[in-house]
Amino acid sequence: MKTRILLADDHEIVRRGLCALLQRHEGWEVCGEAGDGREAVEKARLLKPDVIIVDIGMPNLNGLDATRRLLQQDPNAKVIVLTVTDADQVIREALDAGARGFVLKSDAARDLVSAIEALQSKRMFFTPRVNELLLAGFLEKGQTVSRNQPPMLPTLTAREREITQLLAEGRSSKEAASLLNLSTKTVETHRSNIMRKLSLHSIRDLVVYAIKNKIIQIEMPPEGNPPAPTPTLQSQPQRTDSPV
Amino acid sequence: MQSYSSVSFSEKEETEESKIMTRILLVDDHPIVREGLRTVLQRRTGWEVVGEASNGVEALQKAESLQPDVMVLDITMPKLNGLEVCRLTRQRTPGIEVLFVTQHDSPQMMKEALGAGAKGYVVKSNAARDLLEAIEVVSQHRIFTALARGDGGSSAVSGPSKS
Repeated sequence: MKTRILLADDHEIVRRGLCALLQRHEGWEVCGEAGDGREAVEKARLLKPDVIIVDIGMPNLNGLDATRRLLQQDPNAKVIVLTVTDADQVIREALDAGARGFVLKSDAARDLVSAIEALQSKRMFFTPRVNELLLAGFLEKGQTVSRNQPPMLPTLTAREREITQLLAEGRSSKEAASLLNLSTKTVETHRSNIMRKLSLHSIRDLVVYAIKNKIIQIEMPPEGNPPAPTPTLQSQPQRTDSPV
Repeated sequence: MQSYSSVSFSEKEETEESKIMTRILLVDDHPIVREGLRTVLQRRTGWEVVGEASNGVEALQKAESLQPDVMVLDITMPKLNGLEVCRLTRQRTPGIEVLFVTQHDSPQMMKEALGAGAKGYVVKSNAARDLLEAIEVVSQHRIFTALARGDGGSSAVSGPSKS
């Protein structure tokens, strides 16, 4: 029987690459794909895959919260987290969420196959760089790996984290309510609780908080690159190609 | 005496190898992304992925040695970022057109990219949808840009080259 794998990444290009990599292996089958965390949880419920590969940075529901939901839905779920960052905090959160594998996207072509094989054998898998970080953490006397970082997400519930992400992504309370099948009033109540718990005073503060705590991720522009002079573009917005 | 001109071959005998192919160099630091790009590009006959590079320095070396028609280029990369790669490539080998495929869904970044000499700018979240058309347009030395709007839609813009 083939090992059935569910892929969750918001970039179709990445899913195409993962599919091409995995389908070279006889005995493996990509049984479904999801473009965000919410879809991943729903498809896992329907398809009951053997392994779920989850990108951390996804809209609507990020990969870490999706992992928590997946494990709540099925405590035997085998989840591999795929991420661009190996920040200590992210590693710890992935483990706390119940992921059994942690692979950096930059190493995915090399490590993902090994990760799936490990999970099939009921073992865990971490990219070598993560192993080094974990070992460094163990060797520090009585210290946590991220001792210089503030305590993690003190008191937010899973629902509050979901709402934090949606609001930080720019959705209104009404839109968030629709996505979560809640009333707008309930979302507003959660929002007030979140702001009070975290001592935040504006949506801007909420966005900054969400970025710092990896609830949402942003791509940083390249460093040390002064802006080029802005050219005057001759091409104006057009709906069809112009002849050369 | 009558001289005869030698006839090499007729048009009907044109071989597969002699057909004009669009030669493409893929540049991204993530092998999985390059694999995905390659998978999408393989749908189109007449196009050939001639090489791959995983950082900016390697991109410049391969551009010079392989002389592709189009370089598909990421922005954020180690050693040398994509904007610098684009500027240098356009200076050294102006025959190579550059199409950015990037996570930066930003009008400002797109302007910088075009200012660096790129002809195309596509956001990774929509790359599977926009890539084929983008390469088609850019290989004809025309501009193609497509940002993703907040509502998940996109506006694709293509037009004549400013040169």
